[in-house]
Amino acid sequence: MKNNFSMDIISLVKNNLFNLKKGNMDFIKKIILILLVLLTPVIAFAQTNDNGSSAKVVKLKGFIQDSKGDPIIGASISVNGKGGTVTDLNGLFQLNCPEGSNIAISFIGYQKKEIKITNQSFLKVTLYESTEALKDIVVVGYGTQKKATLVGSVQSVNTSELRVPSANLTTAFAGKLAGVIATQTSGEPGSDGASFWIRGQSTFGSSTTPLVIIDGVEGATGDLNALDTDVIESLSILKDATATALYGTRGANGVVIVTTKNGQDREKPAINIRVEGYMNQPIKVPKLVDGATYMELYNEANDSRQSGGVDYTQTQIDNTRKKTNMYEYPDVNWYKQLFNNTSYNQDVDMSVRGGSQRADYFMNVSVHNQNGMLKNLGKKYGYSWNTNENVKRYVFQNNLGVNITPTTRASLKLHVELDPSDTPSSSTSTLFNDAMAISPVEFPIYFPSSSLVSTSTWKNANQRLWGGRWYSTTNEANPVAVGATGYSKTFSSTLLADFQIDQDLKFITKGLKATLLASFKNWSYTYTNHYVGYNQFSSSSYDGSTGLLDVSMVGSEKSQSLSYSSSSNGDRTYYFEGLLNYERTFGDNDVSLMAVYNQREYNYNEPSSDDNSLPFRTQGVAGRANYVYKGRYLSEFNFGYDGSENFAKGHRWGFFPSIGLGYIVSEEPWWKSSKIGNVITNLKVRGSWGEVGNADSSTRFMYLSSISLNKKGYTTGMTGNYSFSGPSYNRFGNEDITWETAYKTNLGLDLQLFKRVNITADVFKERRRNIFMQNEDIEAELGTGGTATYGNWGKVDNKGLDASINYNTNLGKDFIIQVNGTFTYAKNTVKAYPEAPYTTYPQLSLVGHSLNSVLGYVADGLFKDANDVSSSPTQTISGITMLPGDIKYKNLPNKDGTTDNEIDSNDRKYIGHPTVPEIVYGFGTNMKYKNCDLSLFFQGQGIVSLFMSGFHPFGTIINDNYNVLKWVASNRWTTANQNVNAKYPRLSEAVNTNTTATSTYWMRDASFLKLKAVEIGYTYKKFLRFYISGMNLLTFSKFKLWDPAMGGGSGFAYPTQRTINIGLQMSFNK
Amino acid sequence: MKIHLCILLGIFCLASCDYLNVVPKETTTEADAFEGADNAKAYLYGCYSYIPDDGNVYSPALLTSDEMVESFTHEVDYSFGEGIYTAASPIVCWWGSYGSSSDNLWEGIRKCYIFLNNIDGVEGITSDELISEKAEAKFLIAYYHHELLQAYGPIPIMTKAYATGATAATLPERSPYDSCVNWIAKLYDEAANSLPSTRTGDEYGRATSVAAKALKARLLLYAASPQFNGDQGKLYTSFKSPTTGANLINETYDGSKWTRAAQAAKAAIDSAEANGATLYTGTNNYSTFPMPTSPYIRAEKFAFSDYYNSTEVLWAHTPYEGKYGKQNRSVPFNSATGWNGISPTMKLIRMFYTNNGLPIDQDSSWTKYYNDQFGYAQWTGNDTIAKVGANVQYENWNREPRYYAWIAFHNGMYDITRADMNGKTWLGGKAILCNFTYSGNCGINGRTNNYSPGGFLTMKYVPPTYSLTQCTADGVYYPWPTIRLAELYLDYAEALIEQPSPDLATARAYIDKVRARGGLPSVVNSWGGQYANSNAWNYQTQDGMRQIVRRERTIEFFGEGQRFWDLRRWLLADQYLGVQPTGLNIEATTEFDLFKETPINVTRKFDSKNYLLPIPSNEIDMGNGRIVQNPGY
Repeated sequence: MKNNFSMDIISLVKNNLFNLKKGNMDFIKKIILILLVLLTPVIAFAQTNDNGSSAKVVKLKGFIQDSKGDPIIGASISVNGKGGTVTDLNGLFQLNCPEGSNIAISFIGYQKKEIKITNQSFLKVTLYESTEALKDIVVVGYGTQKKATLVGSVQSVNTSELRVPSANLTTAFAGKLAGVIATQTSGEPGSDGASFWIRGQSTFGSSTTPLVIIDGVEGATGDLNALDTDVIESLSILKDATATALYGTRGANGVVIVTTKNGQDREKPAINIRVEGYMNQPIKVPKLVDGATYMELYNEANDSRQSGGVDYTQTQIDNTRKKTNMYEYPDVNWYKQLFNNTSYNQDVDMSVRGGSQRADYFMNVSVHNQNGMLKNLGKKYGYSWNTNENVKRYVFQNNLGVNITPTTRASLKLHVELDPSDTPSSSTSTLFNDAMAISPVEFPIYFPSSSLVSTSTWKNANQRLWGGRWYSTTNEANPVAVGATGYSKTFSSTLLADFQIDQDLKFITKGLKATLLASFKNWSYTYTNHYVGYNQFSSSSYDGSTGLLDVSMVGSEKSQSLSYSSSSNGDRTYYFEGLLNYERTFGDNDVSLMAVYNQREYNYNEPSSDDNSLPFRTQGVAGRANYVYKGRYLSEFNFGYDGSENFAKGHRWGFFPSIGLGYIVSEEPWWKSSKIGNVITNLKVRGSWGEVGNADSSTRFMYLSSISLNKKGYTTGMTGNYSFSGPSYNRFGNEDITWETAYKTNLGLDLQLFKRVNITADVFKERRRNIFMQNEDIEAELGTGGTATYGNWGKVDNKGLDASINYNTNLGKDFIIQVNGTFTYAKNTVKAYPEAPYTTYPQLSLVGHSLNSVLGYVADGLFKDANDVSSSPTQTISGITMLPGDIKYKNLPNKDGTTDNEIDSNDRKYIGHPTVPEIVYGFGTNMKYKNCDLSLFFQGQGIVSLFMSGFHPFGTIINDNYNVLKWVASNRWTTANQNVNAKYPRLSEAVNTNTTATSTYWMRDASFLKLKAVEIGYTYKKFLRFYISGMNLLTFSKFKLWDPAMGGGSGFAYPTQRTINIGLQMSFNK
Repeated sequence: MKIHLCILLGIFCLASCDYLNVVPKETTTEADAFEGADNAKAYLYGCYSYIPDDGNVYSPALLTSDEMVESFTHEVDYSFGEGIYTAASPIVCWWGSYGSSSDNLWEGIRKCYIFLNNIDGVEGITSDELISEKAEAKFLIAYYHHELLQAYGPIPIMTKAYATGATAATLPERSPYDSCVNWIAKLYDEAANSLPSTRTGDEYGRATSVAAKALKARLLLYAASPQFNGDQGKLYTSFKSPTTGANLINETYDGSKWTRAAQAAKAAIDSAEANGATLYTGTNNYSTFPMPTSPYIRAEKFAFSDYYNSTEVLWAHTPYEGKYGKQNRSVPFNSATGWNGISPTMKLIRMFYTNNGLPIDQDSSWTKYYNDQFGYAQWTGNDTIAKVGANVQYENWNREPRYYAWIAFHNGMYDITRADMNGKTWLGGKAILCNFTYSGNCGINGRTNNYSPGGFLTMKYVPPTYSLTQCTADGVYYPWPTIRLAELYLDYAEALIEQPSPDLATARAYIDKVRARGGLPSVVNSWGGQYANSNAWNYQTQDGMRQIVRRERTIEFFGEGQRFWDLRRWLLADQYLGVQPTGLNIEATTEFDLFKETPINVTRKFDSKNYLLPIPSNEIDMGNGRIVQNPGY
């Protein structure tokens, strides 16, 4: 069925579309005819009859032209606000009207003209292009559409609203764009962009990220982040099937379309300069206890299970507390040693925009400089390098357009981005972890070189004597030394060239245009790392009389000469597109047709595997037909027909159709004249249904078997000298693998009240089917082992709603207030997953739960006493004997409702909410009084859980000698205070996996409301504006330990930042 | 459709339909794996690669029964020994790929079948090779099933490589234990018919007909044993097929199974001996090594490592044991690669015979020591065994040669070419004097691993040729014996004793061969001799001989992983394996304190369900009722 349908379309296009060069209009006429026939009932219903009139009737003829004198075909002429006629192919019209009546002439994109008829018999009217009307144009897939008559679900946003004091565009998405779920989990320079999903996630396939289209070409989220808001002309989010079906290959997850600014025909170039400086502070970092408290808690933990560790003596504890000698009794807050509390960033952006009839240009240069919060340990400890993170970004944008002939325009957009960055040799995530994971009392940061006594065998006293100790098999890391003893540099660059020719084909038929687009992008990345070894020492005795320590080296001596390693990476993309567009209005009939061919090739510059060395290719055609009758009956049909190299021949091509219908009730004359028409000034209902595909998978060529020779071997021979290796299977092919498909349904409503309040609301449902999955339901006996087989097995449903509201008003002539808000709710449910059937413990199955759900135990408080332990089922999670104060878990029944007397991994279930929020919302206001302006924006998320982990005190593995968080110390179960409601269970010296297991005990509600942004501005003489703004100023949440936006973990990751920003903006020749 | 598409695309962009064909047709496929005789041989070696490394310390059988304890708490076998494995977390697993255990035997079986399906068309392979290689694949299919059967009891018999998309319903269920045994035995027979009897040179380690017969003997011995023959423990009464309701382990005792086991053992012995197999007695080799002059101790020391001269090993696992293998973990502490962490338990120390070939409680000449096992005296014996004049615990006096060959005790010599931690050397640098006190060279010294938990070490895995050079690498290379002639002798003896009409005399004769190689008197001369006290077993009864053959097995195969399985098949594991092991007081700083029986800080747990390993619970789920779990899990 589907194939036949696509066949028809294809043969239609093939037979007709390409004969246009002969000036043959048959095809277009045919299409119009088909659409008219299809829509006859609607038209018949919609037509209104002229009322009879007693006045004298004038027989009027006329000619409607544009400013260049060309006829306007299909301009509509109405008489006294009622239906009239439209101009013909020569721009001529003829009608009868009563004398003294008002006729109105209108055409999309042109200013409306009204003329009173007295006794004229011929009218020649020139319509001028309406710049006002252009504002109501929305960028959609492969083109633009009038916002008023759009049936798809498209959210476009005023780009100035996306400007926040952040290096990344995506951090502004949450709460600003209805339909977007966005979270920012890190504040680390260079990785502080937000993750975002359009209408949440609908697949556990490899890719959940939306398709990003920048100036018509597929880009990456990183490219999006690098764009300055000053460069962006428009940003649209395409959500439903009507809007995304054209992007068959990857549209299933929604599409973000960004276009950059073009030049303008203007007398003087417009110059815009913006300079900003900002200060960052971490929103919240958990606090650690001091050394003496750590020792006391260690003793408590050690004694609580007789773990066999050696207690700290009271002398040690007292001396540590009194800080008698920092070398003999060290007490190091590693976090404070490593990190600053503030960091400073700068931004400069400059653009020039101008041009003439012949050519126009837009140029933009921006520089961005961002520092991290790491102390400059390298310099501080005598090395020649800086170790703080520094990320710079230089972006050059040049958009040039030339009108070669009156109908031909060529434009070239060049985008160059350079990103040099400096970081310490170790990753900052390691340093954050080490700040907590190394005991505060084990060793000082370093020993003074004077502390060496003569008996020491260490000869090279010029080097720093870093503190350390031998831990079982190797040295324990010294976090400060780790941070100080090396640096790395990263350089990445992006080059994007985008060449486009637009040809107006009005010599064939008016309204027909063609576009050719070719683009090339290259991204390259180089990383170099330099580091030296560091030698660690420990002291065994301290001589109070001489002040000398007996210090000796721990472990073997490390080289002090600089070592080096490097890596590089990159990719390149070629893209080609050819597009034909036809747009005409015939009286009440607005028709537009579009067809496009595209192909894309992506390559790794340094492929890491055989599979990845082959090009990634897609190829496709797409089309759109749009028909609007009387400006209020709307219909649209789209299709994408796409091929991907990722499937076997015969399964490569997918056809993705969609249809959308809309009705603008408020455009009906009876509505306008009714009372309600004054209240509800705009009312549009729309609905769409369609299919969108996805061919992206983390494993390529799942249809092919993959086998590596010489992998799995055996050795024989008297001396173990004779080896052969047979093949190993990496993947068993599945020829039938094909497209992952999203079936999307959308119902939407656009409402305007009193011409001031705009409300848009959409409800949606998506059924994602044929999700590529590795089968996990393969029995061991089959002997396929860990070898993957893939198939289109997964199913996910996703539904929800998104809405936005916007209100504008003037209070007096100088006071403007604007209020807006957005709300997004998206809930997904796994419908099928190729897991084990879990027949005995059905609650272990993911089916019926949300993606990003967490499997864990259900905690039932703490064990009260020994009796409670012995009368409860045996907890085998840890293999350790349970004691009072340990977490007690619920025993979950099997399918028959019976419980065994053991708590093991079968007693887990999916707990809490997903770790990605189901609700994201935002609301705010912009106010302007005379020269001052103020904006406030709140943003929040809801229905989301986080799981605390990785902070448990002590531990017996190398570099896992955790310090104690203050909140643990202040609210814990102890034998002296057996509080069964304590926030932390009985301490344990060794890792107690009963305590650390994922469970409801460590689950927290991660919903929050933030005062996300505040900005106060003052404008001086219309060209200069000063402003001060803040981001992430206040957070309201039940969860207090760290910024809940960061999600689960220990809180010891690069924290999200609170930002204060001072800026200056200058605009000349606006 | 395709034509239309091409025209359309062609018009648009002159692109050909090949634009999406990016995978070169030369990409490697399964056919390439059988391209020529060498590739086919490589494939066959791939089939061999699934053989579980039973001689590796990670194998649970080696260090988790009551023979030995280790201090490597981070290893999977350590956790396994604690008995905390469950179906959800089996810790050690051959039934699929779970956790850190990667011996997925089913995968090996599948590979063998794929090999058999493809080998016939291979070019350049000689007909002799073809016959042998096919038989080897069959041998491996039998062996992999055999290993699974040993661990899990009844298993599904896989008779072919099922299609990758096969659903649970189309796969076989678990077959009754006896059917599995018969199927595997038949496959061993088939393989034996086409395999060469011995392998030499580069081929050493590949399957032989003698190996197939020997393994068949082991298979049938297990099948006749109490665990699987009539189930005296009544563990398996309700252990039934979900479809037929038949018992998966036969509830009826059948004495003829012993007869069948005896016949198989005898056939294997005959075949092995006909092909030159003998017990190793290479007393004249390695004359530059000064360890005890006793030829018996020397023979026992070199029994594995002198593979050039040994004809005792019938089939061996030939890959290297690796740096983290038994040898480096056995030797006295050295910070580089001497990990000092494998210790016999007091239980095993007491199991060894006296120099009169009797258990320590049955030898009248040993009464003095028996009554004061933790007493000590200055050593007056051979200085190559212990330091003359040093205090040696009575336990170590007047023991059989195997004891001195394999056990390192306080103030005893560890025969390797290496200096101790203080740079001291003994016997011309060819031995280390062991000191098990707290800060001695074998002491715990505050370490949380790399110490001997029981106050003894074992030398069984470490040939005297081991030197510091080996210690930084893979240890001394030797093929680990999977099955050796001594086992066939004792298998045969046990079956003769247990069969419906026992043949005790022949049984004694075969036991005596093993005893004689260890320098011990015959069974009759020991239990019927002057030192046998009133506790002594009666070697003329079936019951007495049962004790004797079982003790002989325990000693002879000490550290070889046999006892782990023997205790299970004898249905004795619940008496022995859940017991807290003891050793010396390793926290002691003086010899006086060292010689005290002290519980070892290690957990041992054994429930009756543990007689069989749990099938991973995922597999039970996926089996959808077809695969029943082992009782108790």
